[in-house]
Amino acid sequence: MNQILHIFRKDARRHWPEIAISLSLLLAFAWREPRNWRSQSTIEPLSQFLSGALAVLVPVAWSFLIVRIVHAESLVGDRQFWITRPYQWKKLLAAKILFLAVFMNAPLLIADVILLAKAGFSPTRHLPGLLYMQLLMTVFLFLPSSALASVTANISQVLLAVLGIVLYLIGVAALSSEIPNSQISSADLIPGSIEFAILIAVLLVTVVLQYARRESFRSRVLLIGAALSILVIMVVTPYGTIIAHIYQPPASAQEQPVQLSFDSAKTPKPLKQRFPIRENEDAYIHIPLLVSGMAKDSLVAVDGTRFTVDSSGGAKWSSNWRPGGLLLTPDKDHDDASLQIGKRFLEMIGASPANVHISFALTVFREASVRKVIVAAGDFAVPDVGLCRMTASEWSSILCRSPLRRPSYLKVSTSSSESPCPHSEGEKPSPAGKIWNAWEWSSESGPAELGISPMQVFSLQFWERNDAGELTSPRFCQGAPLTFTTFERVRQTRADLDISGIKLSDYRLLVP
Amino acid sequence: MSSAICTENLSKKFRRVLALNGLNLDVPEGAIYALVGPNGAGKTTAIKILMNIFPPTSGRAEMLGLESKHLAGFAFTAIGYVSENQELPGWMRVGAFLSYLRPFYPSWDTDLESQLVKQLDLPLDRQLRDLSRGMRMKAALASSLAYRPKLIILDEPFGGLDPLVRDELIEGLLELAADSTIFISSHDLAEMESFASHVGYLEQGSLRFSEELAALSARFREVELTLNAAPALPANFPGTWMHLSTSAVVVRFVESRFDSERTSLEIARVFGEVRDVTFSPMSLRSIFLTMARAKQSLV
Repeated sequence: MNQILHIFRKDARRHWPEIAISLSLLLAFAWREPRNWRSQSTIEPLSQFLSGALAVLVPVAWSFLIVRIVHAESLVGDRQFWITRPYQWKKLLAAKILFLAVFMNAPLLIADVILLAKAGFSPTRHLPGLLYMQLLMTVFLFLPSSALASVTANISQVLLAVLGIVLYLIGVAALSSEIPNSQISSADLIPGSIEFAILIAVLLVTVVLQYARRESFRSRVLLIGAALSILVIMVVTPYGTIIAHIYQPPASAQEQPVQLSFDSAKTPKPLKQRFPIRENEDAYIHIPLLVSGMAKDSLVAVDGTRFTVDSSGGAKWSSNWRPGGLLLTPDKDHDDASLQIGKRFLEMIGASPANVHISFALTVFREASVRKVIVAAGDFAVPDVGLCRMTASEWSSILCRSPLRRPSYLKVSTSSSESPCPHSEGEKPSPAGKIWNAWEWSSESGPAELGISPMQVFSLQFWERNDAGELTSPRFCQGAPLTFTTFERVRQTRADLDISGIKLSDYRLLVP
Repeated sequence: MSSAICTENLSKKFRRVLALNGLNLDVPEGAIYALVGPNGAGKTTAIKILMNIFPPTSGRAEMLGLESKHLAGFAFTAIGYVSENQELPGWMRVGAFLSYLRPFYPSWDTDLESQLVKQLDLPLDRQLRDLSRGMRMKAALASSLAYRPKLIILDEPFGGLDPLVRDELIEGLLELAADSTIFISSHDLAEMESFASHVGYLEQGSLRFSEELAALSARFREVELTLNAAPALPANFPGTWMHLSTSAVVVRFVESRFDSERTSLEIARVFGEVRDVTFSPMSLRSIFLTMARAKQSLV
């Protein structure tokens, strides 16, 4: 223990400027963070920039500090004085871990406890979540930074390695976009978990191996091997088979969570996109759908779609699974399925009719809780969510802050019939019974999210476009009721739709 | 006498370069062993393997009875290591450096530390990075002697130092490490001769010889013969004679297995009657030069 404390004290004395900078940044972040809990529109752009910059600078300062303290007893090279001194590697490693705990984990925990209390939440009640945040920070920031520092000898090497990592990540993203079916998040769950486990295990082994044996070449090979194995896993994973396994058609039609059919009544005329879209080799087609048969307390998310097109001329085109991006609700009886199709194929089949087969990868959700909350002046409490408040923005929205993590699947509704809010002069009243919905939809799991703030702030926007293309929104005031509905995931399934004799060019999105 | 350092067929390859080739070394306890050889001979590589900085490619080494590859942590409390290219924590002041190292060594002697600081004239309040090369070596030496290590390993400690500093260091070393075994590498033969008890000559990764300096000096003699008439260079002279040359009636050579009686008999056998004969002791430098030239002539 004496050696641990001795090395720790030396590092603290040596690196006090970096420690002071990182603590000052954290302090500045904690001081400014509560301003983000107010309406976003009331915050000055400079202030917003500062808050964002601090949220980035604090982890950067920590990473730099980790690199500095690991390099203080550099593990790379054969000339360092300490390698022929009676250092015990376990104690040296323990001293570095102690340094991280004292100057990073502990200040972060203290800052988070203060912020949580300031935000109106009990830190003791959320202690497991706070500790989980520390774990996330350790796994996603401290461990990679330590591993990087342990295989480099100086800052120049670190910067070079960071450049290499950035290029690798760009390569991974590019490769991922080229791998068929890999864009469906559910399909990536198993390979993604394996990749994550490999990465964390290799980072851990690298740090321990370097401290125990200082075999830099072997450690670097290990890291490069892990990076390559992730690429190999990406390439060899049979995403299509995984999707077929996860999203299986129900045994009977009665178990189908939603009935999807082609909306042939919708006038087939070329659609115009309001915003410019970039067409490269693909054209975009929106196929109108009729949605029915959903249980009142359910929601269906379209995780992915896959199309097959057979033209009357015999030409055939098939897509891979692509992200769906649709959320089907019982109160909405129509929607569009987006199809990205090869421009050449579309031009080749021209106006000739085609048979289209669409497969939908669906996740079914069921209501878990429904709570009616009355809007109050200032913050009002919402069970299972946190604290919310009206914003002063032009478009009606409410700003909520949740302790540690945002609610995963949340719908907030307001009805014009129930609103006690008076209309301003010249304002067109909303039609009676009009319901506006706002969503907070995230697949984050675990008791806390990665970050340095314990508060997750999110805005619920209630505006929507009417048939005339105008933006409309409800009016909020004190006493207005809001319905907060949370959902839970029930199952994943598949639905198929066949459309015969459709002229695809009629449903093409035209670039203005 | 037991060995402080012992190696068996120690070899090290860096990719295709064989830096050390089957080194067999035995350094007795209490010796001052000088490992000499030209630059690039493999001295630093050998020391780094001994100190477990590099792993050997093959063979094994022992330091104070412990296999080198297991040398770590507490074992270093008995070993002092100073190298010319060692990176010291430049940001530390000399005093802080010594204070920092103190708790690592149970046998750290603060009185000896004070004595070393005084004798080596170390400026305690100056940062290591601001010191001259000689001063840094002194600081490193002080930090490696203050705990009275049983074994002191010095890798080219005097390279580039002015003679005054070098003499101070040697003096300090001899005074303050009287009970230790010292293993020192250098390419400067003259400075080794003044204090080494044993010497080993390493060349191209191979140990050419290793023996007590006194024995080495005793068996090498420069021999000068004055004959009655100019001789023809004999064809059958003994193999232990090196660099045989003649000039008028004078014959000169180096005897590498000198024994007064035996050498005299050999001379009489080869040259018959000799008017005058002188046997001159040789410096270590002269011995090495003789051996190096002998090797070159063989090549």
